[in-house]
Amino acid sequence: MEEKKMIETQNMGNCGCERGRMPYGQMRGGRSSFGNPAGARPQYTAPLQQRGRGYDVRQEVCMEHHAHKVDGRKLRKIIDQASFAMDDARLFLDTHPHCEEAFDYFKKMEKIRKEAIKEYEIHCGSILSYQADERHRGDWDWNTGPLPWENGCCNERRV
Amino acid sequence: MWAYEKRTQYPVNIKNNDAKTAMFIISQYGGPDGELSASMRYLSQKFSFKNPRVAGLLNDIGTEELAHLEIIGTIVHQLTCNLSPEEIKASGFDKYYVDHTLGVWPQAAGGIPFNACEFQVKGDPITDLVENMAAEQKARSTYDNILRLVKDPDVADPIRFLRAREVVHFQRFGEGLRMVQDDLDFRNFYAFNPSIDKCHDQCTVK
Repeated sequence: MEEKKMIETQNMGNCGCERGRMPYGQMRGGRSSFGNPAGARPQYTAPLQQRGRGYDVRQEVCMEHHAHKVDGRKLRKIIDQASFAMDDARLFLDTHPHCEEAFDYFKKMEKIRKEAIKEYEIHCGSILSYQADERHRGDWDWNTGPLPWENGCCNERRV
Repeated sequence: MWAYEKRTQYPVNIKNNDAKTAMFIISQYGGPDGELSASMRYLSQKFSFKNPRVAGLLNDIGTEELAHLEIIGTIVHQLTCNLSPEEIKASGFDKYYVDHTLGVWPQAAGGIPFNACEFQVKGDPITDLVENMAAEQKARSTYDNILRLVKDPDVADPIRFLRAREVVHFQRFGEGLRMVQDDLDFRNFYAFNPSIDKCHDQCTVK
């Protein structure tokens, strides 16, 4: 399987939403006693622009399937990043409900995430709680495998 | 209404134990300005909010704080998981260890157990949102304090992520406050608490 492209960073700039354009306090024509904590013009900066150190988790043990191996670590990285992008965009959309640019970004990340999860669940094990692959019939795998909080120096203690 | 996925929101991969670091990072697990406090605050406040957009925002941010709680717990766990009795004795971790061994228990670095006195649910949307903005700043300051003391880059990386999220949450709550105020009379925001006061016939407050 060819490598999935890393998620592109995207600076959304001024999204032009109503809430972003109007200076604080002018929506009703009145004063407010509270300052403008969020800044005059909210900008949506995609979270991946603030990427920190490289991702490094323990090797995912993935089963061979259909004669090709899958890099579980890479898939996991894509899932984590796309999911976080959606987390951030969701909060932004909660307070900027009319922003279409943010919605487009959300949908774009949703597609990437969905595809990565589909691959991951086929090859590497369950990650979602409301679905189960048929191959786990008689071999329930939800509560098996590396625990998500075990990493680093705890590896050698895993049974 | 919680389903979870088998992954942490941000990867944590700490290769070296360090009990001293664990002992002050634990404040973000069970301390007054920590993730559990934030989560319980927002998830409890949501019930009395009449504005559905802001109630939804509280739910979303409260949920993310639970994910952050797990990240902090993971950090503390990975910093302490392989400690030897000698290391425990030498690091001052022994006071915690005697009650909790290598478990993760919600307390502040100074030892005060997590408790509901560390947050408020006032039942007034303006008050609650201002409390939340203060909470996010307190959390940010705590992360700043942690970053001054932490040397291990494996630890600093998720901490920096969490600190950045606090700033974003502060922004969102500020916008939520404006949304609440938009529904109130600009001549006096404090005249009416939508959580409890009843409207007269002509008013259109949601």
